[in-house]
Amino acid sequence: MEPSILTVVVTGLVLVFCILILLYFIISVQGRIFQSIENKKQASTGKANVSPVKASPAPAAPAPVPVVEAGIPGEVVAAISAAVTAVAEGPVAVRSITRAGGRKNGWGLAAVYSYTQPF
Amino acid sequence: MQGFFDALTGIMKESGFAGLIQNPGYLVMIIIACVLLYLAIVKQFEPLLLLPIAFGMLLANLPGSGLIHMEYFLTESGHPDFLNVLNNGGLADMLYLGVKLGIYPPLIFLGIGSMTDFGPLISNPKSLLLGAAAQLGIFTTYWGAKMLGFTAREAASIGIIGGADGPTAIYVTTKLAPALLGAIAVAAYSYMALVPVIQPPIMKLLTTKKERSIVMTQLRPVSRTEKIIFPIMCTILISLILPASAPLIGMLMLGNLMKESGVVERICKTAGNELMNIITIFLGFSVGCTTNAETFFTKQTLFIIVLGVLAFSFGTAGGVLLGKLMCFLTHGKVNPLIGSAGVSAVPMAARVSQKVGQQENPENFLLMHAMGPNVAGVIGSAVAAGILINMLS
Repeated sequence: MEPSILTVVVTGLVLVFCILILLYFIISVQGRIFQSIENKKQASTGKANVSPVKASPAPAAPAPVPVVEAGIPGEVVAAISAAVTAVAEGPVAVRSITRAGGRKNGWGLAAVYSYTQPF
Repeated sequence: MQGFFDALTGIMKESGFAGLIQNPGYLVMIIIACVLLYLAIVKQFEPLLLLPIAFGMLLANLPGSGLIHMEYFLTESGHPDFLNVLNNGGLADMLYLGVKLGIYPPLIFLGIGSMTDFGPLISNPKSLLLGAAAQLGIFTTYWGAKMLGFTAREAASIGIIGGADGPTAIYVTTKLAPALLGAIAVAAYSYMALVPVIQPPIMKLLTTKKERSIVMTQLRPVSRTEKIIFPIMCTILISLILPASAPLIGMLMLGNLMKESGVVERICKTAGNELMNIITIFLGFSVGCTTNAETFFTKQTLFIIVLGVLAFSFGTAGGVLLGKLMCFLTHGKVNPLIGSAGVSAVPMAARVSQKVGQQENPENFLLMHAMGPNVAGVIGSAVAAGILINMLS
């Protein structure tokens, strides 16, 4: 017999939430275990514990929206912004994105660096 | 001379032009295919899938081409007529077997898994809740489709569009309502391509400027061991609870384990590149071939198109609303915009969260935070698919 609409909707939503909540608990417990192991390792090697960087409040005067050169797609802007944030230690803002000039592209420069760096 | 004219008349009667005159629906379908090709090539909306789907649609609607024989697949028993497919079938029939037998979607998941980083999700497991909330679209649309007179199996296939996950939508539809595959696949991929258009107004409507400006704390680094344990644990847990999800979740996690383990780099690259590309061509082309004018031009298709956009909207709203609740409970530590990424559409939905957040606060970088709910959405929609198949098949 075909289940009623309410049965499918309620059962479906409840089950999706239950399974993902179960996953949440397992991952949380796993994360705590791994963090405590990491902390113990750091303590034993005499390194200071590094706490996660706290969010800094938004500045009073927000930075302007980045000026993006025409033709650079949104996903490239997002990727560059995320990369800059990942390597920066403090609050940063991307102000403009333009294509690098010159004859050689990034890959070419990387190749030159790779070959010449040992010498 | 008479013989010459008779032959000419015969050829004209057998030509595709005669078919176009007999059924103008073909012409409309050809125009729709050209519009989709335009969107794929010029606007670059999901071109990897939209282009083969649109071209398959174009070929299937050239009268007399006989590219695919859907009567071999839509049998009363529900199983393909293998004898006819193997004896009389052509290229598209053979390729469609991979869709009909549910082979392509799990293989696509294998490729997705080999390219996905679950780090943001492991780092912030609360993201899983947002991934669950965004499945609201699936079940509200199920309800809406039932109200419009669809059968439970058809309604479930339509609802799964709200998961914003093309392979999952195709997988569920081939299992529950194969007759609707063409319309559902086209709707799912078209709306996935339109995520940057559909989501921002809903996100802005449901959040305040202050909420959109929230800067979230940096995610903790995740160890390699955690990343290796995650796919194994997920597969065991979800497959034991919902065996119907095992093909999708299993292949997704296999791909991810290949990536994270780092010991099978060669096959991991193959899964994420060559294999994924081959399957994408087969899947897109054969699904496009199912959109024949005779089966596509129905009231049902119109309803599917409307219900599809509602499914996306409710899914987005579900994620954002739970994001708001989490924002309230954590005293402003969660930016509700990341909730919208709980619909799958990896990574486009996460990019939309980033973009909308950065419009309010240029120093805000939500991309990695949004990737958590985004990959949780993939798991959530596969779980929802398993539930629907389990309850209705």
